[in-house]
Amino acid sequence: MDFRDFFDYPGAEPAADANDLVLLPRLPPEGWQKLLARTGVQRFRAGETLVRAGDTQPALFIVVSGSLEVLAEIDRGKARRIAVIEAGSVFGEQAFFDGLPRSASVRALSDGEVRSLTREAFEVLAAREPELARALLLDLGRILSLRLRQTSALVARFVE
Amino acid sequence: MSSVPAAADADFPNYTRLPTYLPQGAWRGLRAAAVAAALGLAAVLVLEPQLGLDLVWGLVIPLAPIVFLVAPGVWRNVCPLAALNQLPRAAGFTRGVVQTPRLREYAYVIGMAALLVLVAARKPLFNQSGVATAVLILSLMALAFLGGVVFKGKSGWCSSICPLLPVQRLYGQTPFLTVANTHCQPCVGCTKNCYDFNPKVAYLADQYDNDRHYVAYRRFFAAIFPGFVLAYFLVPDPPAISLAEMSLQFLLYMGASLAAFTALDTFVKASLVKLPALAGIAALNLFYWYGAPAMTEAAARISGETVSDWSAWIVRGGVGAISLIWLARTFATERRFIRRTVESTTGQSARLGAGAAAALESEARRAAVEVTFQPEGRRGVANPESTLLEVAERCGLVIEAGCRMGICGADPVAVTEGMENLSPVGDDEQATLDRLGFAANTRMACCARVRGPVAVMLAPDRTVARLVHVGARYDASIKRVVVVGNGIAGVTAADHVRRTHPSCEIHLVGRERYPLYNRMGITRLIYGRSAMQGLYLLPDAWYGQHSITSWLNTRVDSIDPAARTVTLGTGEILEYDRLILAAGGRSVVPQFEGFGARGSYILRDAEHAMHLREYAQRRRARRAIVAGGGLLGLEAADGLRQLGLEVLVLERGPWPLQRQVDERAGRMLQGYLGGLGIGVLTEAEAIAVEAGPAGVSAVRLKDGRTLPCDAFLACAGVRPDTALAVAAGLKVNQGVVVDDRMQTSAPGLYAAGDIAEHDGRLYGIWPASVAQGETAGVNAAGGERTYSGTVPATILKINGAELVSVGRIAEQDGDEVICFEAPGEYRYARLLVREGRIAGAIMIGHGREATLVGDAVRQGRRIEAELGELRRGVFAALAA
Repeated sequence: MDFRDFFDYPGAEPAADANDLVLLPRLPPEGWQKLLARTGVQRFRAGETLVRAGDTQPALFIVVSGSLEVLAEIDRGKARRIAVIEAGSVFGEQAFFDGLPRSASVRALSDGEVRSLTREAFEVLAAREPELARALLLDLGRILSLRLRQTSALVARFVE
Repeated sequence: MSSVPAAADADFPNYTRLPTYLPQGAWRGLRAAAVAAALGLAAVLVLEPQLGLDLVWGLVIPLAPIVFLVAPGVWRNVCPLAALNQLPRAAGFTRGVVQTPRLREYAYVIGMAALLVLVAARKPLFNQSGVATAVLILSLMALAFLGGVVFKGKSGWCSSICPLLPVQRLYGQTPFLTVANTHCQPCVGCTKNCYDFNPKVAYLADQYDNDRHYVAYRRFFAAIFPGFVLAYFLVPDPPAISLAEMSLQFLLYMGASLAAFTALDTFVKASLVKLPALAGIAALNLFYWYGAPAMTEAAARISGETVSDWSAWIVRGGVGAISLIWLARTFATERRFIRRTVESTTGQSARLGAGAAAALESEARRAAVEVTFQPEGRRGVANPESTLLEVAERCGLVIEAGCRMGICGADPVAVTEGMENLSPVGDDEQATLDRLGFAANTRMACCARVRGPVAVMLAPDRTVARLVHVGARYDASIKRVVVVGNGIAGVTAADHVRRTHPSCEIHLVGRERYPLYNRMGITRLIYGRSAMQGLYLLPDAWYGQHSITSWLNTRVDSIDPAARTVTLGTGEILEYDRLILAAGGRSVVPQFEGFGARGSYILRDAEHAMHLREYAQRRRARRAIVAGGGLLGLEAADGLRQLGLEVLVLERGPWPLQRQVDERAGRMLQGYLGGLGIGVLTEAEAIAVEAGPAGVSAVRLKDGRTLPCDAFLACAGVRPDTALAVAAGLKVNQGVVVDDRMQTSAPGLYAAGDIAEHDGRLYGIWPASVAQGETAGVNAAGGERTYSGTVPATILKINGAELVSVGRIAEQDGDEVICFEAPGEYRYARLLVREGRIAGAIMIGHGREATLVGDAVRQGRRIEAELGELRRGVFAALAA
């Protein structure tokens, strides 16, 4: 378990895990440009819901600007914020891979812009830029695997 | 950290966000007073031992546990040892050494051992000796100061080896009053899970730490501590027993306590903090239970007053009550901590790599146009000149698409705002809009290019279909027109009969069971889960509104041109004044061995595609082979791929799409398809299908190879369905021969679409069927229209293939060939220029430029003015 976010001492090195949760850390801007060229751009206003729980469109989202909140429905009609996503982050990796209905809704906290890479667009990327697509896939896989590890650690800690 | 829910900060704020309650100066004053008091106490201990001992062991020390429980921050801010420890830092003469790993590992253990030894030593020594206690106090003060001189932050004493730290941490898990640390300005990050940094979460973080030894030291202390406290009160003081015996008894008490803790830990399924919390509270209550009488006595001695017999019970009861509240709060805090940690771990979104920022910035500098999709109000952004279809698809919106040229009419959208910001309606698109009869604000998404902000509705209003009368000349003597064929040629013909002739009866006889659908989209039936939904091209009411009687799922048995009758399979006979034959074509059915076995298919009708999908599911097919690398074969292969099958396409020629592209483009496409996962085997021809009881098992090739598969699809081309025409005695060559008015050899009998052979040519493409149907319809109604051929134009409808082929492919003498190819890039252009016009073009990966070039070819536009730029590859010059 890592509690460095509780103890974010000034000047301390960022937590190693947080460093690992970076998508394609070594991809140069030209590579990103090729990737971005396959994405759709969507603008949003504060309060707008971008992803609804139950949606089945498998797409990977990149937050270009603004911030979003992830809302999990706890009771009928009652939602609880479980995460905040800031600009420069990625979300939706899980649905991108499994195509299953989204488990939570994503609502905008501010105005902003997201880019989305649909599965179809990814396939085109894979056919045209196989190296880049492979790197993206491996890195998303790595990120998911890290999450799984963290989740396993949580389960080991918190679940009897 | 970006992804930490804001609520967590409220639950576990760090010291910079906690109140100090008193100004810094006041805390400094209190600290100075505490140091003075400690020195004073030492003096009193020497000069007035009994009073000093009462003050230390009867008042100060007994008060400490409850202070630790209620407001540990107060203690940590005023403790004289801490004040001395932090003096070198405040005064700027600390050496600030970082703890060695070994010291960091064992600091807690050292502190714990010191506590146990010192407390146990109270019995034989400190409780009786003022001097010894004074020496102890002064020694601790000296050590704390020394620790501060040498080590960084609080790591020299307060947060490492201070003997009181284990007690303070155990009792101070859930402070009732959280006071901010006023020592560390700023924090130097000297200690793991620092209490002073984040008091509410420090103990929890200790218990949930990954380092099992780190956790074990702390749990060990919690485990032995109740036993230790009990021992302190129950074990007789030396000299009643020997020092050795006292020590042994202490060990036995602690051992029993440890055993009890371990047993509970083993058998009770409780979260990590529950047991240490219970142990801590047990120790605290034992301390006050047994200590209360002595405390009250000491208080009485110090104050000189008599203390009532009840006072010990008041202490015990008060501590007990506070303990219960504390336990409830501690357990609740642990639940919040778990929830919060789970969320921050699972809810952590990945950040983009450093290279993304520059790329996003350069993207942001590009011109962009906003498209609002109603009714949700989703706002897509795209480069100017993108089509609405591209924008919608990029944004992941569900939208139908067909020809992507505005001809099939699969993707109508209603423009609710900004109509003027779209590219103007072209001829093909206009024809489609007229046929569909949508409201005036409708556009075909694949044609409308965005030039400014636009709002659209993906489902246009179908109810406003309007009937357009062109007011042209028609023959009133014509009472009944029969159209055979409910495909695009037949429906277009019927539509134009009605537009030309307001009153005649129109019968539309279709062999298939569906009203007009997008035949170009049938490969989507293979992988899509919405079956025919979305594939229909006309509103249900269309036939009725146009007064057209439709006969679906109806065979035509024969045509008698002399008697002007059509005999239906039902036995009914339809008389006609004019007949339009638009029965289309049929797939070539391979005549080789084994074809027809279960799992072998052709693909022409929607029905075929749906059967193939059904079979693939039933058989759990894994591998499909498609014979024929033409447009249909490749698109079908893509459909099978998307259904999850491994697909191999067999192409007789040396490259796929022989009829549409040259070798270079064909090879490039082959590479792209390979990347998608569609293999294309060239110069390969199937000669037999092998099948087992479950269905197809393999395909045999001409070269002797046998390839395993469990589905086989033949896309070997389409032949005009001429059987009826031959039987009726019409002139039939490859197709039913028609003149420029689309009339066959029989007067009053027209043909259009895939069945018709015009000027020696069979087209077999949607745009030609539309144009021919229109001509046949107008002429059959008594109007006048001629057809002069169609420039073939095709777009390969495979995601990302971006392949367009328009006009002539084969180079002829005298052609100027303009060819561009970027090595390593999926991008190609080849234009055949002849007599100031582009006779044919093949373009890959050119996006909008391909449309511009394609339009120039189809319109036969003169391009002398732009030729120079075309030669330099500036195809956008055609936009002018």
